[in-house]
Amino acid sequence: MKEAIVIGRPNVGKTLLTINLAEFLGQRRVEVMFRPRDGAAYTRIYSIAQARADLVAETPHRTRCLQSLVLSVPRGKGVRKVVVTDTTGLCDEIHPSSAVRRAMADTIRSVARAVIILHVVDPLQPLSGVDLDILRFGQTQEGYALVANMMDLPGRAERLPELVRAARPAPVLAVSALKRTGLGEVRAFLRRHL
Amino acid sequence: MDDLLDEPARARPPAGPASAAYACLLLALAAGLCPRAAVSLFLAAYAVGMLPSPVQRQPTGMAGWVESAIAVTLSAALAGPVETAGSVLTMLAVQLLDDAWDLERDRNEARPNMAQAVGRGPAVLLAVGVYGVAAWLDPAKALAAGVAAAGILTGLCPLPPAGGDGGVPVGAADAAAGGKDGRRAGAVARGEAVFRLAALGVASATAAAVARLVRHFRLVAAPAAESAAGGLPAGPGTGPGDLAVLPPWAGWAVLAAVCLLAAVAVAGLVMAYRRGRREGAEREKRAAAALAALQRLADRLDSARGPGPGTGETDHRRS
Repeated sequence: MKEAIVIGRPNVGKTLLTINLAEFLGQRRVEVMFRPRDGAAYTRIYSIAQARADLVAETPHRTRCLQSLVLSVPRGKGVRKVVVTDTTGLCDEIHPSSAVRRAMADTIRSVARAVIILHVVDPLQPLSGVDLDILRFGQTQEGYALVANMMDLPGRAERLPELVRAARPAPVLAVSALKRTGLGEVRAFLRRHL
Repeated sequence: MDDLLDEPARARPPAGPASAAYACLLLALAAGLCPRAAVSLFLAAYAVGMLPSPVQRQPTGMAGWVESAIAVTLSAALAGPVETAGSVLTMLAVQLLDDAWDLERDRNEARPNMAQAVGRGPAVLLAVGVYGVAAWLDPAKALAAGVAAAGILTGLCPLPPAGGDGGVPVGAADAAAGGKDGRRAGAVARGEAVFRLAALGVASATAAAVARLVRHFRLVAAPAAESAAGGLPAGPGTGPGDLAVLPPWAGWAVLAAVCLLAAVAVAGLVMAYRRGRREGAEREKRAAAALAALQRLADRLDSARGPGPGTGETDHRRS
């Protein structure tokens, strides 16, 4: 099964996007596999509402390890399954928590093996150093897309053309994970690269 | 087909992912009714569609202008050079008008647009001039294509989406669960689809009627039955495809332009192949360098010790 990774800075909406994408694709429950660096992987089953309540938070670094779930993407007359991995937010600074640092290192290493990279950004924030590193790698890959989230908030739409220019030739998908708009674009992108 | 290619920034095509299939069906019908005009107009639309971004690399690896040259050459070989010239000029006029109409939106979305280079007013004037030349070459086709384009743009203009997701009903999950909002959104979307199909049908019928009337009242010369200049049958009511209907100087000019385009197309193919190989190697090098940088960052994170509280230390990974 191919793997898609959702990556970006802390608090840009990666987890909410992943959960709402699962709902958009028709899932009412998600089975999330947690893969901590120390310790065995384990699985939990959530309803969509429970997943939002448990996994999404306003504070950064709520996600502390790789979290994967399997989505079914309709393609032609059938479906294709893809493992979507939600990750720890990446920042330029050294985080005081060693667990977060290890999770960030795992996130960065998983970029290389992912077939699809959804790089989530807030258009209002300038791209950080690690964002630029990922963008440079992504621009050489077919399955990379920059996902401009929070498009429902003021000021984001005006920054979109600048983001499109910076990301070229990679595509930019404008979404709002909170309002669940633009998820059709994400589904179409997944479908093209599965 | 154009709306399907323009996603994700554009409004949804009315038939969603099936737009390509419906576009092919319509093209097959058009080719059955009027082969030469259908082929030349389709290839002309293909060629003109890449003019706003001629150097952009296409999925074939070739630049847009190379594919345009190939399309025009194919059209000239299949439908004849005069038919091709008329179709190219007609589609160019339509493209210029469309770009003038979408100027603001394309500017905001950083999309290629020919009117950005010349301005909205000059683009419209240029469209009128180009359309005039197309009408001189083939009045019936130019008139019919103009009416059809107006009807199609009306039928496919983006209406307010039924739901919140740019045309995809926001209540899709709700509808699947039997919710009211999803069913209402679905009904509105179906009504829109019917309106658009009706608009397309009216436009098609009007265009066909106009072409018939022009022929009936002999506003142009009778069409050549099987022209030696093109391989396709003329079909009922098609325009002249034979160079002989033009003044000699115009016929030679059209022929010279087509030969030049053919030479350009071949040269472009060769250049594109060689460039593709070179760029593939460069891309692999860049990917390896970027991946190595990310790997070094991951190693530094693994070996780093966190800053003490209040020390204000930051990651000097770039130093």
